[in-house]
Amino acid sequence: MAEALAPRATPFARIARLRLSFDAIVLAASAAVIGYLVVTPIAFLLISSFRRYQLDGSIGFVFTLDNYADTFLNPEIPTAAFNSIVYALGGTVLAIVFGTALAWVVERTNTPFRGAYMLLAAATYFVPGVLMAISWNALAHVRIGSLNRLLQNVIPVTEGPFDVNSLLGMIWVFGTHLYPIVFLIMAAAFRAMDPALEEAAALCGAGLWSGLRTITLAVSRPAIVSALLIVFVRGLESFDVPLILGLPGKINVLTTEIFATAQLHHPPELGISATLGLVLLVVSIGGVWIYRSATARALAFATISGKGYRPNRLDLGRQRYAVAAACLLFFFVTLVLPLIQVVWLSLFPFVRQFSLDALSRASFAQYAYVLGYGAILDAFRNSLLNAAAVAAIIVVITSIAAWITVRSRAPARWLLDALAFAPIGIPGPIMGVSVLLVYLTLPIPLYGTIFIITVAHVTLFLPYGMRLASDALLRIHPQLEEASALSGASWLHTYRAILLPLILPGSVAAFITIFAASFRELSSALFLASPQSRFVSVVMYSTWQDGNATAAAALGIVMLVVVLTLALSARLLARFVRVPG
Amino acid sequence: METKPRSLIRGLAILAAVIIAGAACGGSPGGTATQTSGPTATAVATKPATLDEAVESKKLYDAAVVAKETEVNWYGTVNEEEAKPLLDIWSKQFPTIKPNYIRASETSLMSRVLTEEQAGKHNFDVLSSTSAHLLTPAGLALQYTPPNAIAVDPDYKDKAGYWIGLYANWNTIQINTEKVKKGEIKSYEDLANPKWKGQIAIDSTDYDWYAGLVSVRGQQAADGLIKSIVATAGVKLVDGHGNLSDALVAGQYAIALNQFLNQAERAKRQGAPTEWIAIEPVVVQLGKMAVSKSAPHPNAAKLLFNFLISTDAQKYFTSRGRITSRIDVPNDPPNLVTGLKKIAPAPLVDPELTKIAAQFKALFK
Repeated sequence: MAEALAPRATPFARIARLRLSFDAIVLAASAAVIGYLVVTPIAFLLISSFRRYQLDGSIGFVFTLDNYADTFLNPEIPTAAFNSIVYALGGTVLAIVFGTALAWVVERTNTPFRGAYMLLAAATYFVPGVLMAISWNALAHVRIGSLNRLLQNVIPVTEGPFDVNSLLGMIWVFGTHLYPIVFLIMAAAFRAMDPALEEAAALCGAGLWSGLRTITLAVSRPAIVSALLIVFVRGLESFDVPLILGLPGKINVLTTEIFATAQLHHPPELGISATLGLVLLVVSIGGVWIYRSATARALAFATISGKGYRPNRLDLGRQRYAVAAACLLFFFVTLVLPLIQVVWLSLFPFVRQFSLDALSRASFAQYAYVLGYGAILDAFRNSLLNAAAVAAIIVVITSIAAWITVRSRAPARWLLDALAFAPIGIPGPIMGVSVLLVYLTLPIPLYGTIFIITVAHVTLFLPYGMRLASDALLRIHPQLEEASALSGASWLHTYRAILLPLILPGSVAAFITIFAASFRELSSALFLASPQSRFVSVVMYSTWQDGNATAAAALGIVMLVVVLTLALSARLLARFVRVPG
Repeated sequence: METKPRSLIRGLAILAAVIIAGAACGGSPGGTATQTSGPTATAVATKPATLDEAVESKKLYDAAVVAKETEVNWYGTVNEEEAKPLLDIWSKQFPTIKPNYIRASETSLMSRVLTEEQAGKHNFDVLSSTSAHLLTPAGLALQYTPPNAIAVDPDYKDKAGYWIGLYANWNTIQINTEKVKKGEIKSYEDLANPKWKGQIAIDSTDYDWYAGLVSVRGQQAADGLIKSIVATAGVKLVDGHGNLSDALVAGQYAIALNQFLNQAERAKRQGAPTEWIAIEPVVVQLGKMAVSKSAPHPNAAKLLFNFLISTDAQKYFTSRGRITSRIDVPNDPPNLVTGLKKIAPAPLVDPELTKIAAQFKALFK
């Protein structure tokens, strides 16, 4: 009896066994890498939150609850926390609305010029936060903002109407700067959408909006939750925009209030920032829990199944021109306008307001200075290579890790997901110190090299890769893998032949997001940089901090030109060079 | 699936390959500092005590050469653009020793030095920043008086010999000359005027200036003054003296309640509509430097320390609008601060520093 059944049972039994053993190995390996990268900074975060420097002829520490007292008993904290939540929520709502709408237009409709929108959105994300904040300050400062002065000619006010040094102003700058993350995540989701679902909705009499709501957005829930989580936590930990725009308006958020508290001590007590890091850690772990509950019915989001489909686009008819006009207006306001202001700033040795009179004194001296800066080429090379390496490493690791957390039944998968997302809450300086400490202690010769920054960035940006890879996997119906396994393919073969090609749009989105994030990253790079590992973001920040905002503006423009040229050449090259395989 | 993304990745990969690969090493820690005495009038270039700079410097250089030291690690807050010409002067004088300059903010330099030294990694030779004196309580500073120290203003060096002033930050009022008439502001009291509502700003961490004001006027009077300015005109907080100057020049503010003289001077020399006003005695806060007790290049470290207060280096700093810490090097222009009474308070350390900082924060809340 048993023997008679054996031939039928064997294929399934083999698959099950194979999977199990492979799960075990892959889980162990990727959990080891992620654990190694993430556990150390978290442990360091915990330890530093309980200790303070004690300098009495040597470097010592005392263990204390003072950091917690300074944070949680600080009477300014409730207001700061309220402002932080309003700021992060407001910015997230803006980013989700803009990013999702734009992604839908680009991926699901026949709107003209849609190819350019992706590039423009990515370009926006590449503008460093400091520069965006400086630019909006120059545009919309209540007294001297160029936009305000322009409008004051038309409407009868002496101040305003815009005030960038307000919570609303800060939300605007944050939301219009970070929406590209949402855009990239949602575009990857919409690209994998099976139009049959939308068509079915239309057949049932659903209008455009109700089809969008009940089908398109519902099926993209993993992506929306991912985008929401990432942008919200980014809002909570956002520092440069609140510092530049909020401080003069006396709008304190958690990060600036805690920074100010840590600054009261000499040497600055990192432990005070660590307490905020722990709060963000709890928020991010809660976020992962929400993500996992929201996507628990995994099959509901699988739009890619064994059934063939061809992506087609919604014909908007004449309205497509109106949509294109709206998109172009959006890019004009959120990207072109701030850039015009930045270019204007870069033409003078010190900050000047728009005027014809000033124009006669404009020069490219700041560009000459920036380009003549000894190590600027090295800095560009370091920044670009590091960003590419960071993005590539993360995309590979997280595509494996996400398979485990989404597909396998491994008991530790929830923990792996949480671990890989946790770094989003770790403040950059904490990451800097902990990575420094690790490589000063371990006999791994990374200290003083560019690679130490690569390690820090891989850890910092794991969450982006993890969320995007999970979204991509949730879109793929497991029946494809099962079919492959039934045909006798090994897991690795299935992974290479089936999964990788299907998650590619997600991987590209992850690559671009991480590349840009690493290229811009400042606080850990600032901490780990050495003369041989200069980074563009660090050079720009130092230039700005030293009171040379106009040179920083010139560098920002050069940086954008370089990145856009690279992106365009990559596209062109891809057209002409065909690699076999 | 669509092939576009894949070919995009390929393109990126090809591009990455085209850009020559490269990576590098280096890295080390840094510090912070300040100082005091009664108000003293600044002397015009005085004769230095007998010192043959070239001979002394040659001795130090020879020692470094004999010890086969080929590098020196300088951690500092001076921006790279300003440090570069200085390093060029160094390389001309001491061609066999390569200077590695690590620039970061005061706070990250200090955290970095403490982390490195705590892990037993001795990487910095010299640290320069306004808080370099804090290396002493951490047991990291070497007690060392270089030959050139003899020409440094006695107000500007540590009596115990752990640190020396590299340059002096003079705390002044900065104004936008398009918004403030000449002679309109002659004292801090003139700022307590509703006319300046919303037009005054200050760096959010100007603790040393505040401590100096307290030491000159007493706690009550100093606090009373600040309170009256805050109550009548309001004072906005800005992060960084450079940004403050930028914003003021742009017209965002009319007055910086406090600003480093060299920041105002630099903007002014670029043609910006700005001027600084000294309120005597001017509180002076020092950019200081210290040598590491466990310097990886001990001889080169002393050479660099001595070099930074050499006539050549100090002349260079004055050409950038900074105020020299030497008594025999003229400022640029020579009469920049001539005759002005100054006070250089002893650098603050904890717990006083934290107390002062908290008071400052509360006053400008």
